[in-house]
Parts: sequence; structure tokens; C-alpha cells
Amino acid sequence: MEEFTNNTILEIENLHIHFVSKVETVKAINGLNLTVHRGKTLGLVGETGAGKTTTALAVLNMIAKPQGHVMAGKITLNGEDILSKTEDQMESIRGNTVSMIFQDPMTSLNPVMTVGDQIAEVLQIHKKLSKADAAREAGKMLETVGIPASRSREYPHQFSGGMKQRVLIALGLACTPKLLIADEPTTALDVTIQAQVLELMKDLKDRLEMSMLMITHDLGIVAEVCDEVAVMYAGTIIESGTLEDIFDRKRHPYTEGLFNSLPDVSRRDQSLKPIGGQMPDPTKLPQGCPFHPRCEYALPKCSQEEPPMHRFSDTHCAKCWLYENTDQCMLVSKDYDPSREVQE
Amino acid sequence: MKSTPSVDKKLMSRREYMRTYRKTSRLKEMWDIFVANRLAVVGLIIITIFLLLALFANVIADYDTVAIASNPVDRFQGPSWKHLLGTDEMGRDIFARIIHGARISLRIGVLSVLVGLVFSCIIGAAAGYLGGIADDIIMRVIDIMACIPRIVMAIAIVAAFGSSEFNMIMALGIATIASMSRVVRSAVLSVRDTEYVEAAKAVGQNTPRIIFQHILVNCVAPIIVQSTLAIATNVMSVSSLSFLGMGIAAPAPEWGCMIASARGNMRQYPFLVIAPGMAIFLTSMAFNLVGDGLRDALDPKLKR
Amino acid sequence: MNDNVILEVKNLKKYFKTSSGMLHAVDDVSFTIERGKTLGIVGESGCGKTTTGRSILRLVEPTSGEVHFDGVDVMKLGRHELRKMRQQMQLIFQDPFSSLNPKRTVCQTIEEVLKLTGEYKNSDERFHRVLEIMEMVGLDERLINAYPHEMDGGRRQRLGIGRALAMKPKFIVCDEPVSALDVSIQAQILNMLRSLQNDLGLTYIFITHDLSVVNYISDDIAVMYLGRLIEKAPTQALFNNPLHPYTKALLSALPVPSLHNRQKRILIKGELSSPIDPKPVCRFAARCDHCTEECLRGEPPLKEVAPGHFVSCFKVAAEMQ
Repeated sequence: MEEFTNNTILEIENLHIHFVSKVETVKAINGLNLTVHRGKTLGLVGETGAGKTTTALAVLNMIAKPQGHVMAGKITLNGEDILSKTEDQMESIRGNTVSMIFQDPMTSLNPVMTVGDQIAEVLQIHKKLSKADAAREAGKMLETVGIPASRSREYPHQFSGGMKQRVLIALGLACTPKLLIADEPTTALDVTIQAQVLELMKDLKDRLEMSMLMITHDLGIVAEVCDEVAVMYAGTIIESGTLEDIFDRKRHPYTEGLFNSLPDVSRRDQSLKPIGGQMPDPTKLPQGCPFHPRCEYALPKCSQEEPPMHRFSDTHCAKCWLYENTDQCMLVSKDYDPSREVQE
Repeated sequence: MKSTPSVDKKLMSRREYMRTYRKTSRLKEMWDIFVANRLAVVGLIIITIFLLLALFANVIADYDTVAIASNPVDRFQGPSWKHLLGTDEMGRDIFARIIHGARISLRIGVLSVLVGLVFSCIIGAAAGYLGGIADDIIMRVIDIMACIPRIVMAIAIVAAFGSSEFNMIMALGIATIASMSRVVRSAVLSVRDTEYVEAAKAVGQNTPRIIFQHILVNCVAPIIVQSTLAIATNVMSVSSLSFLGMGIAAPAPEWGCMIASARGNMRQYPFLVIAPGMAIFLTSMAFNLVGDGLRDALDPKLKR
Repeated sequence: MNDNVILEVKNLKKYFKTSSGMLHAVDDVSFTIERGKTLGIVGESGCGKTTTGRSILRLVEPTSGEVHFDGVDVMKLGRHELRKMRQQMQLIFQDPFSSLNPKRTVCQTIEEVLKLTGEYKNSDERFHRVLEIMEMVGLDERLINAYPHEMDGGRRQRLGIGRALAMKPKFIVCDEPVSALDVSIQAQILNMLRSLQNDLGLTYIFITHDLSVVNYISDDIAVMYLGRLIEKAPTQALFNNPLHPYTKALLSALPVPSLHNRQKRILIKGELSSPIDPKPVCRFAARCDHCTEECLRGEPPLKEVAPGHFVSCFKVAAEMQ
């Protein structure tokens, strides 16, 4: 079988997506490259407007027409070229090969169907199960996410926020997809409930050996559940690597800025070091590196030419001119720890 | 306070500042969105044509001699250069009657909506802002009004007070209140509990100012849209009433009247009915189109 | 009463009538804040933290309780006096979009407040004060005529803060002022709030669900659960030595953005119980691992177990004796 020949489940190459309206063109995704390995969880990190959700929708081939245009690029999911598929073909891929969990559990469930029926429906469509089998399977799925099967006859409004998110996870997992995309799955939840859901996702990931694309803005969640991290800014990946690469050996000034913006529970007297300025307007992206107007390390070159991706190791790369001639860390971060560097 | 403005700032006056950093014109923004909607522009053009025709009706064709006085020699003529839309059973120029009729229809349509609007704003704003028992009582009365079909209500009022133009305006105005005050109330309700109203209360702003500067200003959009649509309805109601003989009396060139008096000769001379019928259709459609266009242009949610 | 205490809240209660019974949004909450300090109120959605903030300003009329601000009993004020009092007590909202009137520019929004103070009769003077405030909150003067929808979230929040500061208040309730913002912008706003506090001697109540934010900005932290204040302590003490089982779970549930010194997580089972007509027992009992019979017999009082460290738990109170 083909799927055993390589160990990547999802590969996005040089993706460009624009949203065109009469007034303006929003350049949402600009040359995005991304790889999710089989059985691994990739955390896609970035701020509002970085293009995280657009990327996820592109993988499902669900970019809103008529404004959304995939200008260039290739998305390979489980060996298949997604962007060349017809809507009919996509329908069988969605749910079976890839499925998505959305941010808001309150609006993602059909309020007039019982949760059991909603899960069973997916199973009937994709796995061609009989009604009775599907209902039994749906009950099992609910048990998997920690909801008693007896509650499958209840309606969404009878569930609390955390419980609804569990139902959504069950729904996403119903057909045991090869890739699960989770778009900010815990943002709408309280911390203690978020902890429960994260614990569940970690556990499921291990048990089902699933690949996951975890979209979040919360680096704490990334540290918790992800194996690899890709940091996104203005529609492109500016740094990617393993958890250790990003958390302990960060190279890109934006990644450093993100970490410095976070209040550190153990160092409260230190003043936060926010990144100055705002996200660039996606209709008027700056020339060169999109981060250069906010970057304290910016070189003259940064405003003219887009930096290439610099490889530090097999796993770790960053898109920054600072590393044109060196592999040494150029950041003067408070988190910079040379001792850890030496151990490598 | 720690921060002190630098010296040159003191030198620049308020007016100079306002000139340097202009507001973006909201009207222009709205106009851009409105113009992008082709159908709305068509509607606006139709309305403008009718308005101009109505405004200069006397210049184009004299009311007494052309639109009213009968001229038996020219009866039932087809369209020609002399009579653009032909003549009717009394030899009157139909085009002249249509443009004079536009005066009546637009005048009553617009004025009746204004009357309805004044009442609706007071009633709706009171119900929405006060809430509680006041809201309950007001809305139940409105519910009762809404149970009576508009046209029946208008007929009843005209029948009771006589069919003058003033009575028609009042009748149609009152008939508008039920639907319009609901729109005003729901708009006020949606704005009343926003945080900026709470913020205004938190800084100690007084109630009238909160209502005018913070609530009503943000309710204007749905009210304007609803009014435009109401004009379309009322223009049709004027004609319906006149057609039934409850509105404007016979010799006047009212569109409904024209259709009513042409009924007998409709088979041989369909133009007698088609012309005023088209006039009614075009105006009410134009107002509906403009209403839809305004809804898009005024809706802040569509803005980035 | 200690002269340094700017705000004292005693037995504050706010019940809402619902179709299924009385919703106890805030139930018997008492605390004090010293001048120039920040009290963080933490809790999950529905714990009554927002209602507490609004009740203190009487934007929501409390059911009962006392609020003393600078020695004045706020609850006893008439409408006119209350309006004056509000000049000293302001509010910063969570959502920087819905809290700004979309039809008013930056200048109009700030100037409206300045007019209310009656301090600036001369239009040009008032205008320069608007510019001063804009500078204070880091808004560029070219935004003077910008509408809220023309600015991004961070700038809108700056305007919201500017509006509150225009009154020259002594005390500000910040209701989740950064939770709608991105981390990099969040840090800008937090730093600004901190430096404004130093410059202007402000006192804050900082309401949030985000523990890392509250840790950064607060001197004291109060933890709320289902309308009750269950633990209050100086920030260091609370983070280093949380006593209430809920606080412990809350702190351990916080995802830490670091790969080192990770702690074992305490998961609490179940979800919030209903705040409608709660039984007179410990509100956390149903989810608590240490629940004893005593906890189901009555509500634990808020007891001072260490200097400045209050906790409402029978077990902890007994252990610390």
C-alpha cells in the first residue's frame, strides 16, 4: 500500500490563497510550506489574522468561493492531491481521511438532532453502516471521549460547553480519520474544563495513533500536546521545528517576541516585552520580510527581499535574514540559555 | 498628571487638527456600497425620474387644461408624439395624468410614512428603552393594531373621517405604526444593552443624552430601511384605496382612479390600464430596491 | 477603618430572578483593597466575577451588602451623588468593539467624558486634554478622527482605557480587558495598565479568567467559585501555596508555555453545578476529592489561616489550626 511508503500524512507546498473582493485583495496565505508526519501532532501557532484557519480550510478544500482563490500551491493529503479533487470526491475524503474540530462547540452542533444521531449519521454516510450498527458505534465513540453512552439520546442544549466539545471530538473521530484538524478546540472553554479536554486529546492521540494539526494561539497548549511546532505570521511559516527547537532554541525574532509577550508565572516582577506595532494589514503586506516593521533586529535587507528558509537541523528551520551566514542564535532573549546550546 | 503635551501641540488649534486628520466620510462609504448594488441604482434612477416628473409636472403639462379637462375629439388615441401614452375615454393625455398622479402618490406615500415614523419612534423607543410593564402594555396594543389588516384599517379611518388627502395621509400613517414601531423597538432593544451604553452610564451621562447620542443614532439604519419599504407599500395602498373609491375622488389623476375608470374599456384599450399599472409597479419596485440597497449600505456588520 | 483602604466590600450579594429560581450570582462576598494596589478576581465563567465588578459600581444594583469607597457608602448614594461618585470609579470592558459607540470618533468619545467633568469650559483646552489622554494611552494623534471600526483591537482597547481615564478616576474595574486581544497586543496593554497605575496612583480590580495575566498584574488575588469567594491571598502566597482544592486544580490546569519544570496536573472531575438556589453546603463539594461529611453540612466560612491568606474550606482551616 502506498501509505506505508512515506511517513508524511499532510504536505503543503508553496500555498498562496487570496480573497478577492471588488474593493481589495486580502493576501491570506503567502507561500506556505507545512508537513505533518504520521502519528505526530503539529501545533500551528500564530495570532489572529495569521491565516491559521484559512490553512485548515484549504486542507479540507473548503475555501469560501467566490472570493477565495488558491493562487498557487499543492496540498498532498495521504498521497492524494487535494486541490484537484471535485466536490464529490472531497465529500468522501472529509470525515474519512481528514476531519476538523471547530473552535466554538456552541454553534457547531445541530440543535434539533440528538448527539447520538449526529454521530451515527456520519458513520452511516462514510462507513456505510446500518442504522443500528451506527447507533451502537456512536455510543462507543461517546464512551471513548468520556461521555456515558446513555446520554446519546440527549440534545446538544442538554450538554455543557466542555461536554459539547467532547461530542465534537467524538464526531471528528467517528470515522477514525488519518488526520484530525483541531481549530482552537479549547479556546471557548474554562481552564479546568480545558485541562480535561486536553488530557482527553492526548490520551486519544496515543491510543488511536492519529496525526493531528492543532491550531492554537496558546503556547501553553502547544507545550502540552504537540510534538512539532510551526509558527505562522502573515500567511507564511516563519519558523518550524520540534517542541525543543521552538521552546529552547528559538531563532526567529517573532517567535522570541511571542514568548516574551507571555506573562511568566515564575517571574512576575519582570516587565513584559511586547512586540511593538500591529499585525500587518493583509491587503497591504510590507515588502520583504512581513515582520520587518515590528522587528527589533531588522537589517536594511529585510525591507527589500523576502528571506529564505534557513535550515539549522533536519527538523528546525527559520525564515530570517539574520541567519544568512550563521547558525548561531542571534537573539538576546531572556530565555536564551547557552548551557543548553552546548549540550547539543 | 505626568504627561504634559509638548509646546508645538498647544500651538495647533482644534480646527487645524480637524483639517489635518479628516474623518472618513461615512456617507461616501455608504454611497460606495450602495452604488455597487446595480439593482438599487436602477431603483434610485426610477425614483429620481418620477420625482423630477412630479416636480415639473406643471411645466410639462398643465394640470387643468391637459390632465383634467375632457377633450372628446381625442378619445382613445394610441401613443403618438403628441400623446406619448395615448389618451383616455375622455380624451385626456395619459402621460400628463400619470405625472400629475405621481405627485399625489409620492406626496401621500412619503408624508404618510413620516407621520407613521414620528409616532413609531416615540412608541417604539419608549417601549424598548423603558422595558418592563410599559413595554408589555405598549406592545400588546401594537399587537392588536397589527391584527387588523393595513388596508382595512385605512378604509375604516377614511370611511369614518371622509376621503380627503389629509385623511388618507393620517389613515395610512396610522396603519404603518404597527409594523414600524416594532422595528424601532427591536432596534432600540439591541442597542440598549450594549456595553457602550453601559459605559456612558458609568461615566455618569444623563438619560436623554444616552438615548439620543448613543441609542437612537445607532438605530437609524433599520429605521431608514423600513421607512423606504413602507413608502413602497403606502404608494400601493393609495392606489388601492382610490381604486376602491375610498381615496382620491374621480377626476383627479390618481393612478388607482385611472385604472378604476378604465376598467370598462380595458379589453379594447389595454393601454389605459397598463400605463398607470406600470407606474404603480415601477414606483413600488423602485422603493423596494432602494430599501434593499440601503440595508446593505447601512448595515455596519458588512463593514470590515 | 484603615485609612489606606480605598474600597471595602461587605457581604455583597446579587441574586437574579429566573424562571427556575433565584440565581445566586454573587453570594456574600467581602474584601478590601488598599490604595494603589490591584486586586485580581479570578474564576471561570459563571462564577460571578463580572457581576461583582458591576455591583461595586452599581451598574448592577446589588441585592444587599455594603460598598465603602473612600469612606463613602456607595449603596446609600442617591442618583445625583452616584453620578458624581462614578467620576472616581470607572470601568474598562472586555470587548473593545461592543464597548465603543460605532458612530463616534476617538475625539468625540473622549470629549463626551471631558464635558461631563465640567472641568474644561474652553473648547480648545478641552481638545488639548483629549490629545493628552490619547498620548497617555499610546494612541497616535492622527487617529483623532478615526471611528472604532477603523482601528484594530489593541487600539480600540486603548481608546476604552482612555475614556475611563478621562474622568481622572482613582479606582478602575478592569473586566477582562485583555482576553479579547492577541498575546503581543495583550502584553502592550498590560504594560500600559501597569505604568498608568504607577504614574496616576490608580487602584484596580482586575477581573480575568487568565491566571498568568492576573499573576503579572495583581498584588492580591481573590478566587471565586459559583458566586462565593473561596480564597484570597497575596499573589506570591497564592501561587506558591494555594490552599483551597479548587485553587490548586485551577493553578495546575494552566498550560505552561515551557518544556521544563512541568508539574503533575490535578484534574477535577465534573463541571460547575447550577448557581440557581444552591444548597447551603460547600459549593465545591461535588467536585472535591477531599469532601467530608462536614462539607455537606454547611457552607465553610472564609477564614484567615495565615496573615492575609483567607480560605473557605473546612479541611484546610482544620489543618492550619
